Amino acid sequence: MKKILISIIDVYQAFMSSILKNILGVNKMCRLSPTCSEYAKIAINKEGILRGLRKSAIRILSCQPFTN
Amino acid sequence: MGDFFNLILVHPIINILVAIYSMLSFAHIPYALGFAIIGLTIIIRFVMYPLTTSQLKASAKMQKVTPHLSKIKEKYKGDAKKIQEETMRLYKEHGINPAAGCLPVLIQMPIIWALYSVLQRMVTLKPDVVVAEVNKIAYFDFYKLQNTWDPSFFGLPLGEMPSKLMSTAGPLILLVPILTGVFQFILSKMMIPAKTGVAVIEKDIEKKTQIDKKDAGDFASAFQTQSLFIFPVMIGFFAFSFPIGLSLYWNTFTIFGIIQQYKITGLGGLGEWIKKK
Repeated sequence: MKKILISIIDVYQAFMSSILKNILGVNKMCRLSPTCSEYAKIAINKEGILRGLRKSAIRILSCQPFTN
Repeated sequence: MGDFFNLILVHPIINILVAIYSMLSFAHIPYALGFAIIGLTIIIRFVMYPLTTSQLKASAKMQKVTPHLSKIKEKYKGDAKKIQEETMRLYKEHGINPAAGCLPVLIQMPIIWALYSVLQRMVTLKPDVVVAEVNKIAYFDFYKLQNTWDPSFFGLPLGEMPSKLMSTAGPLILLVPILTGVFQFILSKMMIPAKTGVAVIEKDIEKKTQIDKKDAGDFASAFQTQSLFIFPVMIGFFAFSFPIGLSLYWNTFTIFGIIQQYKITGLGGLGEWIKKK
């Protein structure tokens, strides 16, 4: 299960991410480092699926105008 | 979920499309459906204009600070908290708007998708069901359709795919996907910043990270580095197998993007090529 999730993220990173960037016309869109997808991979690996996913979701949601 | 999406995005967009169409056909403008698609795309692009602009500006600034970022990363290796702090300070110094984030990106995606699904649905309607289907969705009587529409645009059938027209229209129809790919390529090329000292350093960094990623498979890494070329080809292929009405949408979308990109960040990577000539 863990492996499946992580390989889904791998596919996203390899293909979807550059397709999205091309459609929207941005080269660099991440303010956080590592990128959210990379972070999600690490988190899922380290903390398991549920906690990892929750932490990743919080992180994606924190990338917006109302937080610093 | 689908119903909700229809309610808040798809149906309103269909209404705008039909309203524009009715206005144009009331004024006896020929090829009203095609021009309505162009008009609709331009309106949506104007609505998203501030979002796209802030995102383009932030992206250009991010590009500038990348070398500093990697310096920070090296300096405080292992201390994630410190890296985060220093990064935030760097952003503040360079006036990177925290309002950029990825939220503008996330907002635009469903809109682009909705526009796609609206047009896919509208241009492929059979002539005898157009009136009934459209009027079911129209909110107001005054722009409801009286007759079915003419689904052609300067002789091109908006509901047909170039792949199917090959046998009747001949290879000339290939111009549709080719042009779509070319416009996409121009935009993608403009997105890459002109080569400066900064860009060169960044390329080195990218090379380093690519070596780390080698195990991700050769095709995947090729896709990332060559997306400038692969993506336009992919879009061209889509244009080949999707109804022409969608290519009309996508080309309007891209040309608007080219103009916006030019106004905000200039020619970018395209500049080198134009100067050479």
